[in-house]
Parts: sequence; C-alpha cells; structure tokens
Amino acid sequence: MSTAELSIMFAYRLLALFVAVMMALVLWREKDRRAQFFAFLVFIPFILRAAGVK
Amino acid sequence: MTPPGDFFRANKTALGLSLAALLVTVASARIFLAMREAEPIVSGPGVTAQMMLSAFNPTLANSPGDTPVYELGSDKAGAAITIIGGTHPQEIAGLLAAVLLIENATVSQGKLIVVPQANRSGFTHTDPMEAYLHAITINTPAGPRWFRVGMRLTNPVDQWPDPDVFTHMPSRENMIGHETRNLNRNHPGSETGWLTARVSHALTRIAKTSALVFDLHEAQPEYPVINMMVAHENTFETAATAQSMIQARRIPMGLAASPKNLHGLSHREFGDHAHAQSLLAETANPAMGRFRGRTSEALVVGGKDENYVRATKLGRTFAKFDDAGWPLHLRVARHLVAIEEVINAYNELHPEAPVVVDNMPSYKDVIEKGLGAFLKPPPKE
Repeated sequence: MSTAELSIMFAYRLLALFVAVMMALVLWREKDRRAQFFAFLVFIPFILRAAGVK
Repeated sequence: MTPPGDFFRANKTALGLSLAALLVTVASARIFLAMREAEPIVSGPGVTAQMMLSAFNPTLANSPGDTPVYELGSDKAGAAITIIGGTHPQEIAGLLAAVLLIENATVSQGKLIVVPQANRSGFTHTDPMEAYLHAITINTPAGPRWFRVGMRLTNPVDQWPDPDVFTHMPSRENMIGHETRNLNRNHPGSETGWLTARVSHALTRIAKTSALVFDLHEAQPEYPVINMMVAHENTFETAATAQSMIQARRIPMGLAASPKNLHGLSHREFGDHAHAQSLLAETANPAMGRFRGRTSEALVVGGKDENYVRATKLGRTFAKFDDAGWPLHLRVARHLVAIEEVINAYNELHPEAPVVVDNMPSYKDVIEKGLGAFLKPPPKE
C-alpha cells in the first residue's frame, strides 16, 4: 500500500478513535440516561473500527 | 475531594454502561477476530507445489490479502490453466469446487493452478445487516469439515475508507465507491494500490502465465446471469464447444459474451491485459437472493427456500425452484462439469499443448455421493 493510502486509513482510524473517546466522555458527563445509553451504543462500533477489529 | 466510592455511587449508570460497553466490545471483538481463521484445505495427491499469492506481488506478503495458490503439475509439457474460487467469498460453490480439485485432481500433462480463496480478506467478515452464517459444515466419512462464508467485498478493516466514486484503471470507468473493494471490478489491478487492487495485480500475473483462466461465481436466482458462462471474445470457440458438450449431457448451461465496456471483471481484463482465454461461471445461490427467508445452514447448504418456490410460480426467477431447491453439491457439480468440459474443449482446439486432468470428481458422482465423499479427512488440530 502506498504511503498516501496508509495515511488516509490511519487518519480515518484516528477519527473513529476520536468519536469513541467523545462517546466515553458523554457517557460519564451526561446525567440524562437516554443520552448515556446512546453514547454506549455508538461507542462500541467506533472503538472496534479504531482498533482495526471490525 | 470526593471519595472514589461516592463518585461511583453518583455515577452508577455511567459505571454500569461502561462495564457493559467493555463486555460487549471484548465479546464481539473475539467473534470478529475468530472470523480471520481460514478453513483448512488438504493438499491432495496431485498438488506439486504450494505457494502464497505474494510470490506474484511481494507487497502482499504478510498482508490480509495473501492467499494460498496450489499448483497441480506434471512432467509432460503442456499449457497452464488457472481456476479461481472465492473472488466473492459468499459465493461458496466456487470455493468448494476449487477445494475438490485441490484435494482430488491429478495432472498428467500441463499444469493446473488453483486459487481457492482469491479474496482472502473477504472471507474474514460478513455483510452487515444480512445476518449471514460465519461458516458451514460438511460431513465427510472421517468427520465434519468446516468452510468459511464471507462477503462479496474486501473487509473494510483491511481497506478503508471507500471513495465516493471508484474510478477503475486503466479504463477510467466510474463505479459506485464500494466497488473499490470488489476484486471482480479491480482487474487488472495495480502493483502498489489499495489491497484489492494488489490482489488483482497478482492474479493478473498468474493469468499472464496461463493459457486460460476460469473464475467461479454464484448469483441470486432473480439475476439473469445464472447457470451460465460469460466469456471474453478470445474464448468464444472454447466456451461454445464446452457449452454444447455440457448441454449434450442434459445439463442446462447458457453462454454470454463479456461486454466490452464493462471493466474490471476477470472475463474482460484477463483477456485484454493478460491475453489469456478467460471466462466466468455463475450458479444459482438462493442464500444470496433478496426473496430469501432466514439465512440458515439449510438454505446456504441445502439451497431450499419456500419464498423462491413461490417466486418461481410468479415468474420472478431466472432459474426454476421447486421443493428440491438448489443445494450446494449441485452448484459445485455444475462448476466441476463446466471446468471439465472447458478443459476438454481447450484440449480439442489446442492439441499441441493440452492440459490433461485426471481424477476430477464427476458431475454424476458429486450429485449421487455428495461433497463429503470427495473431501479429505479433517486435519488433526
């Protein structure tokens, strides 16, 4: 894979990690249980994509 | 400062959901990672060499696109014919037909090259929202053998993100973005591109050493190109001869020409760029169709679905469905008879450099005895 393609893939994984971290923050900062639950749901696929598992 | 006990008591929901997220993430990661294990394929008596695809494109070495290549050779000079299975990993009859060749066939003249899992990365995941099986089991006299059911496209973990528009090179034909992960839209590939393009490039290199390349596929019963071969114009004579021989055995088989303006497909690009005779075969797989019910093992292996029986009655399918369905062993047998007759036709038209393949499971035997009778015992752990 060329450096450009690797960079794009790395950048997108970083974005996925960013979203996962934001969801973790929402989970701990929000007091509304619905918002916490949605953050829990969104966190899982994004952390798996950031880790290169799914 | 708040004591930790008070902090967690005040955030019970966050703590509970965090633990649940950890649990679900670890459990699902284990399932996804387990899907990367490849099914065992046992080299039969005819296999004279086994290598990895990276031998034809070193950039694939240790990558998720690297995949086994089996060579069934002989001492007698002749042509080379390449059989490709698993270009689209959920089209499992292609994989199984290639495996039956590897485990049974011998070659007494020329050479057979078999790539059973062409898009290896595609075998490591399934189509999201399609509730697909991860694997199927086939019973053999010596115990069960398992085979992976994958997805049409390369795993996005290995090649991501998709562009909005995929521009095929060198034709510059524009396609929908996710086709960048479709091996059968990437040919002739690129030595240093995305993973799928590099796999395609390696296969094109194999095609350049071959007189003929045969790519094995399946399609949904409501798609018109089923129970059919599609051939490059340089392959018409071979394909038409083979088709007439298959029809003479009372096995219905259509033949279509590879469209000249539809790029990236094996039957187009191996002919144009590798100058090999190239063709593709499709069988009818109800597990891939839109009308199907639950994607169970009975559907994927047994090929039975009452929705397709109804769809046939309504005239919505291009292959007739009754209660017998289109079982996997019948679809594999169709691929095997197509391979047999295409090789026979090639030999008839090129007597100066034939490829003589023996001990290939016959159509009749696979129909009568099933797939398990032709699979080697499962390898010991």
